[in-house]
Amino acid sequence: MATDKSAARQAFAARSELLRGDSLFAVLVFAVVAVFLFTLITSVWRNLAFSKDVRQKAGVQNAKVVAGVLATTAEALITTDELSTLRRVLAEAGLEHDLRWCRVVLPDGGIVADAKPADITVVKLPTSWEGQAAVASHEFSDGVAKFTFPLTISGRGEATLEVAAEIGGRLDAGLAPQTAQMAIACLALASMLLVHRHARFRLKAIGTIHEILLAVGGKDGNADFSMLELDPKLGREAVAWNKLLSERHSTQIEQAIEQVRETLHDRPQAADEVATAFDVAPFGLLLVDDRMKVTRANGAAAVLLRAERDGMVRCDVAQVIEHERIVAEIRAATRDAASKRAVIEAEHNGSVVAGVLRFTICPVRHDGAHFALVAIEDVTQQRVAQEAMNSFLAKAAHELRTPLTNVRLFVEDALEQCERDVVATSKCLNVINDEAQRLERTVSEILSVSEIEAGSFGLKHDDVRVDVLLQQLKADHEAQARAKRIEIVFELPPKLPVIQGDRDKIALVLHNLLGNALKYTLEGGRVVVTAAVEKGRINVGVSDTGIGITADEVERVFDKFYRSKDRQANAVTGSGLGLAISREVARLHGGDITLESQHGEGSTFTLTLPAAEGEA
Amino acid sequence: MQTQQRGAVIVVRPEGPLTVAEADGFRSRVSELIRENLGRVVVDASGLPYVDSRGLESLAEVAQELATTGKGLKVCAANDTIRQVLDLTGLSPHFEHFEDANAAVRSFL
Repeated sequence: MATDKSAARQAFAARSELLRGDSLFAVLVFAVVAVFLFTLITSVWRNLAFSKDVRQKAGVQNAKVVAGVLATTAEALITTDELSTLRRVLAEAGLEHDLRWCRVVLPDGGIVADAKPADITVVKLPTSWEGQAAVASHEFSDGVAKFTFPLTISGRGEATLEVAAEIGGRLDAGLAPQTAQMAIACLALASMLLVHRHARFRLKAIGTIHEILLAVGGKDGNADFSMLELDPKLGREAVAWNKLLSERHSTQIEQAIEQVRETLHDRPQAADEVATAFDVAPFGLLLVDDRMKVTRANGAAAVLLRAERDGMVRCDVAQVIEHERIVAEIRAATRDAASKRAVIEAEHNGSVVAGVLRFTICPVRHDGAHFALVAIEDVTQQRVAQEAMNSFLAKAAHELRTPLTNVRLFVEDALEQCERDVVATSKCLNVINDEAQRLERTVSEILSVSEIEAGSFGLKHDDVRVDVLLQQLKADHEAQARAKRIEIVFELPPKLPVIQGDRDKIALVLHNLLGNALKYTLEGGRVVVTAAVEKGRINVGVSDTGIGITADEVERVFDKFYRSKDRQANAVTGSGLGLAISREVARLHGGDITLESQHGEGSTFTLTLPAAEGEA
Repeated sequence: MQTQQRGAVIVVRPEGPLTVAEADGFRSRVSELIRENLGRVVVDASGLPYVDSRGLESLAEVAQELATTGKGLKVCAANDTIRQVLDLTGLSPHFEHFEDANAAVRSFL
């Protein structure tokens, strides 16, 4: 569920990003259009201003030319005293050139001729007059160009021609087409924007769907589609899209419900206290339904059945358990309402050491459904221990019975001969004594073994001087070696460490090793005892030139009561417990005993014990 | 690292300190033995003078692996230093402690 929400959020974020991108595009378009409009208006305005300036200059120039012509004409006509002609010329000029005023003024202010006849104040021109005419000038203000031309009338005096022409009216008339062009351009742009807006609105739904499809395209289809619904105002496309989403959502819900139903039926339920307890159970548990499918399995079951836990669930039980008999019992438990609990032990690959599993199959009935609960226990160690115990008892009985039989027989002999033959009686008593000692040793070793098995084989912690132990060992066995004409050699370093351990038990181990070497070495042989300290451990080696041990027996000689099958070895008496006890003693000290041997050439037993560093 | 078969149980005895150099090898070897021997594995700590943080981590990982099968990691003959480290780090409850390998092996009965 969390994954769905996350996917939906991502899709929505992607969608928002795309929409933001679209808005940015729109803003950019509007910005470009605004810049374009501004540029257009500025251009038109500048064009208008330039045009107005040009027209103004042209109008002023035109008025100046007209005024100049009128001045020349007025001078000539006044000289010839043709005032009426002058007045007509001025009136026509005023009308034709749209002059505000156009008149000839005497220095005293009298108006001789004017474009407007009503303004004439001097009807008849005097013969001569005084005064000077105004200086020639021209000015332009408020759309009116004013010109003043001095006239010299020969023989009479001076006069002034004043002309004023309106320039502005003409200019306004020239601006109309350009204004119209600008208005048309603005209208066109506005129309274009309206069309764009409408088209964009119509395409928005499709565009949004496109963006959503892109956003969810890479997802696994589990996105929350309700997040992707569109506003119905976006048009028919949005409504259709929403309908599609709704149908998809309904289908998804139906699928989820179906999946939940299937899960409830076929798969383990969600984690609860029972599931947790299932997982911490120290024995394997399988729940199998009536279709022989594993519906639940715990971690211990996976380990014991050498399978992957997740791979076991929903798997056929026959693929998980290879023993047909067990599968048959499970089938019976899931089908037969009357079936009882069944217990079956099965060995892995037919070997006890490889693993013995005990399957307990219990039928389960719940709400009319049939299940089988299979509990799996690893009983390998129990089986191994049981077999070892049985073997131990059998061998111990044998080892005890042999000397006891000898004792009984020789006691009978001694009783029969005690009065007649003192020598024979003495011989019998010696044998009885030997056998009694052998019995005592065997019983003592059996007690040691049982202590080891029971865990009560405690160790004392003494300072053990290995060199002293070895010297004692040499003294104890020299006579035995001499008797068998065996050369016994001690190759020892000048100094050996003091180690922590049980002195008596370490001495027992050394006696066992050297005793065995002497027992299994033929007359004239050689036994070498070495000692060395290496990496914080002391290694005591006992090598002989005895009968040796075959490779397949090398590890078995450490088993309790194990006796070699070799005929020569069997000829030597022994309980078969010495090496087993010796190895246990070594291991209890944190060391071990190892063996290298060549059959017929001899053996080397190496006792390794930890030595504290720096004591070598 | 020595291994000894005792009945149906494998006793693993690492030699020397369990530090970053040995931790991964120890972890993978013990995991392998757990799978092969159906979880019947004992770690004999008598040869371990000390463990560093990575060594502790590897021990905890093995214990965690066994915990998913409803079992604890059996450790025997751990010295005082290691016991104190396990106590101080709060990891001690994740292990089953035994005095020696025999006691640990017998616990499988």
